[in-house]
Amino acid sequence: MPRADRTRLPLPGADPEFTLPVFERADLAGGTAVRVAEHRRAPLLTLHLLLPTGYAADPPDKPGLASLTAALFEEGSAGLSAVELDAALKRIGGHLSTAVSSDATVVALTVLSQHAAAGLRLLFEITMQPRLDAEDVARERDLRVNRIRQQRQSPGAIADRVYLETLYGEHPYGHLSIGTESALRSIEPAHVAAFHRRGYTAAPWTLVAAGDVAPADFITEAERAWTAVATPVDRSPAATAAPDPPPAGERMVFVARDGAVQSEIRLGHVGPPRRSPDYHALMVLNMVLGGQFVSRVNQNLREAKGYTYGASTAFDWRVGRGPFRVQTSVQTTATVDAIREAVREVVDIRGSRPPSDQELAVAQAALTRGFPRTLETSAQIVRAGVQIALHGLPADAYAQFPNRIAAVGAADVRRAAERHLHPGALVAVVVGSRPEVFDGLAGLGFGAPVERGAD
Amino acid sequence: MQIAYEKQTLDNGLDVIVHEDHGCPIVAVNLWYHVGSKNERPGRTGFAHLFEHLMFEGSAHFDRGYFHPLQEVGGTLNGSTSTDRTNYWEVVPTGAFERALWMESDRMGYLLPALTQEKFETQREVVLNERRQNYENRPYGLVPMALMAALHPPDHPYHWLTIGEPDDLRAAGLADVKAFFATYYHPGNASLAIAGDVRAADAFGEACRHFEEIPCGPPPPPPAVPAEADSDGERRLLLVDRVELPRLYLAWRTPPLFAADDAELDLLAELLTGGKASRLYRRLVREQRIATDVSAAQGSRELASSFFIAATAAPGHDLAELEAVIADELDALRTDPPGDDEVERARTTADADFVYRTQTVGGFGGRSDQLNLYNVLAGDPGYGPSDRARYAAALPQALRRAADLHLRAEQRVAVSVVPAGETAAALPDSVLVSPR
Repeated sequence: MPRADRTRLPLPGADPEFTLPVFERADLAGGTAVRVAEHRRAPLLTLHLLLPTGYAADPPDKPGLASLTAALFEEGSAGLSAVELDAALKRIGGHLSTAVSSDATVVALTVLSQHAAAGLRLLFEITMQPRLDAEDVARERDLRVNRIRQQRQSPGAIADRVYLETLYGEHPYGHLSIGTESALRSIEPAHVAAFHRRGYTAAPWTLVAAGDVAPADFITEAERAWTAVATPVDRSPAATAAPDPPPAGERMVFVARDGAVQSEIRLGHVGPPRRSPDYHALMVLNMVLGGQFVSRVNQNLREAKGYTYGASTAFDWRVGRGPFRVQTSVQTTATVDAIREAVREVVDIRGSRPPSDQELAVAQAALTRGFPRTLETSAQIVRAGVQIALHGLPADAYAQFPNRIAAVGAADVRRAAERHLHPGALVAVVVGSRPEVFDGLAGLGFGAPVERGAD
Repeated sequence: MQIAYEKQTLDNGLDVIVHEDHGCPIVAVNLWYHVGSKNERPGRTGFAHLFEHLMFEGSAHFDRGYFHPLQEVGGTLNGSTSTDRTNYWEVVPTGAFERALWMESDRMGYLLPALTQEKFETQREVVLNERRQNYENRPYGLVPMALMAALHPPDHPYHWLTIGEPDDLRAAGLADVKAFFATYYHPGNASLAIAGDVRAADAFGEACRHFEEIPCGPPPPPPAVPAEADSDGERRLLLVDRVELPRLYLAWRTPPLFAADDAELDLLAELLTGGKASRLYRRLVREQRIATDVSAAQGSRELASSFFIAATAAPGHDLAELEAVIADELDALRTDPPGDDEVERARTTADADFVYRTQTVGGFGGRSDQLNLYNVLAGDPGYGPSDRARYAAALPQALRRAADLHLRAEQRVAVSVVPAGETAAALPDSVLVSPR
């Protein structure tokens, strides 16, 4: 057999056709929508129940209420204690988790597919008829208070929280889903029950599923399970997007962690919502700037300078205007230089150094040719279905994604950068050691640094 | 779930394992070298992992970063180092399979000509920053160093962590890289798994074309493993850290991966802390509310495993209270076998996890990685069903016996981690240590 030719890298061959599984649709009595895709890779079934209420719906004086309420789904239902629920899940090989983002709550359950009926029943039961036992509420609330306390010593968690507070202030996106210690302490079981009624059962739900099932059978099982547990509710239309946030006041915020060997850094500003017409151009732009290993920010801060283990950028795609952010953790002595370099990358990509044709080709290929591996598993397919439902995207939004990305031109990316990157509005949050770091922050063009406490 | 495969061994000793799955147009390439921090020596700890970083910085025929040519074709890639092995993987669109193999083979055969002092020094800085980020600047981040150092004697290869000591990393040089490469990075010490949208015959053909020219090196020396004396009593250590709440870690030396009682200990961890109905979670977090969390695991490894229990005290409670409940539950497990239903649930959970792990062909823990794990550490890529059978065969009485044999108070290491000024919350008689 001839040896490989080592004078040049093998050119990639054409990729085979990739066809996304199609979601079958049905509507259950009472307005819950079902989307199910047949995907027979493993004898598993992934279920995501999308409840379009997230932590942006927290009452202004009770940040953390949505997340606490959703956590109580895992504490049992009217008919099952938490311990009984846990045992019931184990018997069907079930993995249950709840995630509360700004705009939605997703209750995710994966089960061995032979237990589809039992899984559906449990999922509807815990979300429609959660137990909300007063003692469970108090214990879960206290556990969360303690987690917030522990986060005071976690530089990444501090930086994430202070970054959102600085960008959004009192806006519904201005806190983490876990909320604040003082707000949690004020939450009583009655608040949770009322929030569940108003925030969760009153909004239309979507059940997204994929796995080793026949869609028609699955829909029948879903109807059966739903009929068994659903209580009649008056459903209002989905919540509208959060309003636009006001411009940030402070631009350089510092949290002291004296003696820290690294500085945790967040840098950015409010970005566009998911429904932005520039979504695809911004996906390409971000791949050039900081979306993957070979992107500019990581190549500069890690591979050229060795300041950090990694640096990245991301647009947080929300229903309303989510944050754009550069994120890294750098050795203490490199703090000021790292921020200066990161700012320079944001400035240059919309100014003196727009993405080159080669960079655009790499970014687009990463997104288009890398597309199939992002939809390999049932869980990945279900997450795509959830995004379509949450943002009201066209049913073929994913199927069309590679074409839309391929159609993005250099001018589109330049225009998107001009429209959506705002170097003059950048805000920085630094969690680091005061003696080595603080004074240098004043010279970065963000104005005088403002110091905040870790709590 | 059996992962179907074919295996061939090339003349140079490289094992090649192929698993076909045409469900998604991607191919996973996964390469294990049977070397990890267990092959390091005191004074050069952290080196196997630093070396892994250098493998991404270019090779003789592609002397630039390895991410670019793979990300530009839509691929993803990574690597990791443990005590026992180093793995490298790519997941690429079907059409880029040959490129992934070309690159893996080029760095196996021709790494050193591309290596420079500058690349070495930059990656050393990156690794020092990885250590700062994941250990030094993280609450409870220095506990693993204290635990492993106490569990194993100084000349045991598990005495230090894979991330290594900063002074050792700074002492390493290019000569170490060359010696390490020659000793451990050759086909006879490696195993290549290919999984996904490729025909087995084509995969074997391409593997030959790219790897056969690389000569086999001599078998690497086995790691020097001193005989471990039986523990002569419990050791209690104290760490003062930047944390809000005190946390207790209990750890035991336990039988290696795949040895007798390894699966039983894994199931015991599930019984103790897996879910809200588990014994310790129920008592510590739900009923007495003296802890904010509790977890346990059998950390299975090639030379020796460690069984851990970790619990964080709720405000106003100290670690002795937590220890009393944990000791009580371990005593119960040593005395009475757990109930059939309880064991059945733990076994179903473990069994479902085998199914969950088959969802993806690539990456850490995907099918290609599992085939290599079984091939390298059990000597048989088809060991999966036997692995799974260990769990199905674990009876309540065997769990009781394993707890009795391996989880005794006099054999354990106890590390109390407390905030400054709160040493009273530690277990009594703990000895202050200062890992860095």
